[in-house]
Amino acid sequence: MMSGSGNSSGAASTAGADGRHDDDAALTEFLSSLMDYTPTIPDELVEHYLGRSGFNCPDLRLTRLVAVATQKFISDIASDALQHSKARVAAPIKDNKSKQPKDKRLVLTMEDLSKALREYGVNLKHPEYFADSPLTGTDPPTREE
Amino acid sequence: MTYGGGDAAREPQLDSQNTLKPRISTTTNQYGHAVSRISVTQILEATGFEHSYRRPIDALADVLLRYISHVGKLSVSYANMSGRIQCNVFDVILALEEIASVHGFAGQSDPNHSLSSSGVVLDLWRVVGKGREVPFAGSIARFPVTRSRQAETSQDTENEVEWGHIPDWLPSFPDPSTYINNSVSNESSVPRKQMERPHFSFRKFFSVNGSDGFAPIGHTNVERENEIVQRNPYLVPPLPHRERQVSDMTIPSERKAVSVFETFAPVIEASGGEIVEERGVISNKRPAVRFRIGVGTKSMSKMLSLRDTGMKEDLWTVKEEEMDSKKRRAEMILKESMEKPNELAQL
Repeated sequence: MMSGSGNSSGAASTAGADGRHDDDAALTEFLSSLMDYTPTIPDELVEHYLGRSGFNCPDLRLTRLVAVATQKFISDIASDALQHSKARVAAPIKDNKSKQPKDKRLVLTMEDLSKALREYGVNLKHPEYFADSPLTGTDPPTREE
Repeated sequence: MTYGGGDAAREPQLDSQNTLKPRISTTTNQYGHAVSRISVTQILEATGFEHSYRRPIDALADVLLRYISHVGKLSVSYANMSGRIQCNVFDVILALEEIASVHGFAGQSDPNHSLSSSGVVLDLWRVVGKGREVPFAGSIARFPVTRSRQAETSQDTENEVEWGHIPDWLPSFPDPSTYINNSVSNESSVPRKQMERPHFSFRKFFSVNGSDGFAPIGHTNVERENEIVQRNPYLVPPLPHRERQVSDMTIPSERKAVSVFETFAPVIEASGGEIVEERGVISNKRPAVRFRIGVGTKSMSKMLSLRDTGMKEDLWTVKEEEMDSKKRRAEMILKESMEKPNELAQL
């Protein structure tokens, strides 16, 4: 029984070791594929800001990894903001006599962005108006038109 | 993708070119912020936005830079906890997992999950595998650009001992004789030129052109410094106690009697009047002053008559006559005080 349990544990450990080996191989493959992919955020920018935080690594693959992670983060926020913007455009107009027609363009506004960022733990507060002009406080579309 | 001029109702006053300058402190931050704004714009365009206002792009660029710094800081902390100073891929994955733990990722609940096949890594692999590559518009150089420092002088490096554990970029050690207290050695035994000069000089920093006592750092040597100290009395070191004998102060015991004429001589000379020599001396005890109203003596009547005559003529001559009358009055008062010291004084 001891030998049996030993064998089973040995089998499990070898299986575990194989699994780990597979995982490491997958990670190595992923890191090498990063060198073929050019992220939207340049490496020099990422290197500079990582260096400012004390990140000391000469390996370019790690820099690319952080760049890709940052790009994914920003694109997730952007897609959430896009959802909010589409929801606002698609919402039915309550008051038919309102002066402002719904903008069908997809424009990123501070409102949508702050809603999207709130889910990620970033509190973006935008001041309503600056009281330095007679037209402050009026709605932007009326002023644009 | 159009880059809107800005939400004017919600933004401060714009100038004539309709530009808004963000409040960013340093030059490096401005450059980094500008580059990240370009990246953010490209990402927004790839996501599906057609237009955007300026403020959200600035905010997102700021978030991007903060995210990079946050990942870096977390990775470094994980590396330090493992007793390393260089980060490896697992430190970065742990940092990404910590940030993603707010939203959650696949395999988060399993405490023994493998980092190599972490949900975070799989998400990133999916992004890379999609192949929708949007490279950065343009190319940037490595920044910040550092100026090449001048090579240190041979004097500083001639006594250098190469230590393996000390990095080269640290400044060299000072001469040991400068900090070792040795009773035998005095100032003359140590060659002055080998003493280390600080690279930063407060004198140079606070110096004003042409002011005495300050000299440029490049030309200082000990002799020059001594000269400067001698020229500027405020830089002279204080004298030790009892080195210079200073005479005691003599306080005059009594005040001597002062002659009135001696005191008023310059006034009288300036007026051009005759100086009448008198031997009288005013005693210390002055008689009580009583005011007399009314014209009683000749001097008062004379004063009044002088005034009357002055009024009939024009302004300049009146003034001159008034000056003359004042001088005469002063003389007369002096005479009377000499002649009649006991009588009442008149104003």
